[in-house]
Amino acid sequence: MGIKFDFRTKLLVIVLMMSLVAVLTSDILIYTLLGLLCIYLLIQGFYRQTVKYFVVCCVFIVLRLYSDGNGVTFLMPEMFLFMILRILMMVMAAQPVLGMPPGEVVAVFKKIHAPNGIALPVTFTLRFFPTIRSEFSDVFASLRLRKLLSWRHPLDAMEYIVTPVIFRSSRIAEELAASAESRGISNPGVHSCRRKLLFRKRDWIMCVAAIAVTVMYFVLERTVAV
Amino acid sequence: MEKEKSVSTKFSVKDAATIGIFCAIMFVVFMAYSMLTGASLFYSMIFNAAGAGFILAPFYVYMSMKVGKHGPALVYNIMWAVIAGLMMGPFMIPWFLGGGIIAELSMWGKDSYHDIKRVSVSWVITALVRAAHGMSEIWFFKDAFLATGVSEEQVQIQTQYYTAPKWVLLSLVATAVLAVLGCMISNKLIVKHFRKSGAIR
Repeated sequence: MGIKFDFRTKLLVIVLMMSLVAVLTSDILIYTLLGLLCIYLLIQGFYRQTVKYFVVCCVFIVLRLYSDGNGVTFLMPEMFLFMILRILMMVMAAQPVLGMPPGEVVAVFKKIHAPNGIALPVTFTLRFFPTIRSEFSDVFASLRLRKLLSWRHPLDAMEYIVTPVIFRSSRIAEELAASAESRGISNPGVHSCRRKLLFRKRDWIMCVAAIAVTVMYFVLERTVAV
Repeated sequence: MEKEKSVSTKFSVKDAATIGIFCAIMFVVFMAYSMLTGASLFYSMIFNAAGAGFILAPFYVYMSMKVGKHGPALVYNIMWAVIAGLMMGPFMIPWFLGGGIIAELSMWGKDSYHDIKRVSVSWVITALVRAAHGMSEIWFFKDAFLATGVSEEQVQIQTQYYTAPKWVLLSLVATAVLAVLGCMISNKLIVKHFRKSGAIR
């Protein structure tokens, strides 16, 4: 069980990471920042995800060091390795937001008075993300069982994959909408939330630490560049 | 009462759920496809958006027709604007946002989201915005792009392809053609499966 931060703290970390990803060029700074992000995830209790990210980071860092700026054969050009590490930094910073329970997401959007046209789709997107993989794997398993997956007929294969995925997803959309409606998501009145959204002392500490780290990395990047 | 409900222009929770879920699917499919094809620089530069325009078309067409009212094109592009802002830099947000507004404006008028030709137009605009985003980094945002710490190799390759009219034209034409083809196949799927079953009116 890790420390729970307020949504605003998580959002600040994402914004700061976005600014760092946009300016960092030094390899050593990128690698150490990935290490700090692992610590950020660990203190929030994302143990399994941290191990996965750590392994992926290590693989790509080793490949970058091994390739010495030339890429690994034509299959993994330097640009590919560079982009994967940058995307990893953003995904790791966004992980705590992606893992938020839907009820908390709704409460956050209500608190910041986000328009429903944007807030509701985002809430459903975040709710659905963890199940997408199983939706596709169920369809693939079923098609393999019936021996319907074939490279010889790509358009048929596309139809066999896309149609059930759309049907299943559409049904899930209806079920989630009905569930949300029954809990009063479209009620125009004031909504109460079981989870208290409070900016606590730990959030202040995290925000100050995140800003300090960002400033330090900006200064180090300039020093390295010079 | 039932008729009133079916022609309502108000965005319902069900519409939001449909858009949210299909945006998530399209994002995951696009990422998987990009990872698989990302190994080839040439393909990534020229044909990535074209392939995505074809593969993602069924999801987009279904989402648009299922919702059947204004919003899906704009919300989908806003989602991409946020993702592009996070992954590539904030300078990309106005590019995708502008594309989303144009795509939504192309759907101006009543019942346009049930017309496959109109949906195809908005999908082609969306696909072209994605195809041209790499070009825009070189054409309009070069300084901001260079400041992101992008490797010299990438800048060289992007400049090489995206300043040569034949490659730019090839990329954009391939994207438009495959996006239209994707929408045509999607329409056949809609008629064959989803309209018959009553999932789409």
